[in-house]
Amino acid sequence: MDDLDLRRLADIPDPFSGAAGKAPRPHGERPTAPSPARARVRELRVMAVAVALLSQAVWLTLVERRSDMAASSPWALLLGIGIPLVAAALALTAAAGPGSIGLGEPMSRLAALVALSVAVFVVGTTLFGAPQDSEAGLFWGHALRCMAVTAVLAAAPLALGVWSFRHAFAAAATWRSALLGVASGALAAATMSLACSNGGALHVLVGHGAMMLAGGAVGAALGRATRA
Amino acid sequence: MWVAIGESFVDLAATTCPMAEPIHKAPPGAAAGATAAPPVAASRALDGVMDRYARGDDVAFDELYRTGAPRVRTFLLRLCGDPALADDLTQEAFLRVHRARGSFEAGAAALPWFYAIARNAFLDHKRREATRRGVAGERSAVAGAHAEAPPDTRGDEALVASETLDVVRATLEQMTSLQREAFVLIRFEGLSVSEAAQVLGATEAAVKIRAFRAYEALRAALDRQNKEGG
Repeated sequence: MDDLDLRRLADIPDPFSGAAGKAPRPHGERPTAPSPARARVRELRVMAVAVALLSQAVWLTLVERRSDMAASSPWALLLGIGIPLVAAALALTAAAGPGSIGLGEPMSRLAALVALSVAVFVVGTTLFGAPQDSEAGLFWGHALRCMAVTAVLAAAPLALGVWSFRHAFAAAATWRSALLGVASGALAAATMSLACSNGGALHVLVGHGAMMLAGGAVGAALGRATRA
Repeated sequence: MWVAIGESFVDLAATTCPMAEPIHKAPPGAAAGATAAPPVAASRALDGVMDRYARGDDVAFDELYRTGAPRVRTFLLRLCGDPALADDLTQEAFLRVHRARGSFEAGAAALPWFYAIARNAFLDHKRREATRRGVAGERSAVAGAHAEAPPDTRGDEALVASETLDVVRATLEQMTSLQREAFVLIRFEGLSVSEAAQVLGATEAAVKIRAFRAYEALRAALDRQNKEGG
């Protein structure tokens, strides 16, 4: 037997074996507070995704969208949207995935998927983003403005995500909530690619992508709300 | 928040088989005096009842509580060591089960899901207690809860416990909750390392190490007791 052979655990007797299977103190009551059944929960989540996408469309329609849309290469636009959307889909799938026994993906896989969704965005943007074209002195000004807009764009999806998954995660709630935040940040980054005409790789990574990390941190902080 | 459902509770120790078969995987080499997991059939039945409840069949709660609460209560008792507190936390856990029922996935295993929710209830209780008392250490929180339990609530469970079992119980209370949870889930609740890791939201390697550290502490305590006893 190696040092971590768990068969050895059987050496230890159970001090509570006499209590095993005993009914708890009869409460004699049944909860009456409303709680949605599975079908309703699914409807609410689909609705939350739809409203999150709608909020992004409303921003692009009513507030701002890039002025050079017509002149831009369709491929560049597609990659600008597609890369963060893939990252968002990865993060959302990891957060909502039931895993093998209904408790979500194993921790190691959750951590890997957080890293993967961020990596997809970083690598994709680095490979396919345009060369930096901002003047050096203006970089941080532009980046900070885009960070602020991205934060506004990510707020509604994150709030909807936390609301639609409230009391849903029996295990690993902090990690799974963080993934909701990463997904929200990535969705906002996708929207920003249609709102901001600066396609420079560094600008996109910092100005549009920082919210993936910030969203992840905010999501993790909201883990109590999503914990069952 | 609750309405009466009658007094149909029974002592399941008398009606449920002695849990000779594990939930999903057996901890190999179960020792005498060990408590294994419930029969596979019972576990599957519980999954089915929970599935009905998740689909909106409110009446299924009664059956869910009758069949699931004893297991949850035993798990909580092993974590906190206090029967009265285990009763309270079982009620709390089932309120949470009710609140989260729509998130229970079709085909999922109910018992590990219950354990994860019960653990959340236990951890929240510990945080509240630590805040209330201004005590940060988890050990004192658990020991305090134990000490505060009225003597009569310990009931038969304490009376029938042998000296060896008392050593095990005392050692379980003294170890960190991370180690205790991992050990209890694998050794007493019959979960595999993978299942325990998912319940605890930790990696399999971490859970395995925690369980083994707990075992080492328990083994050392029992060895000391044997030496002292001659």
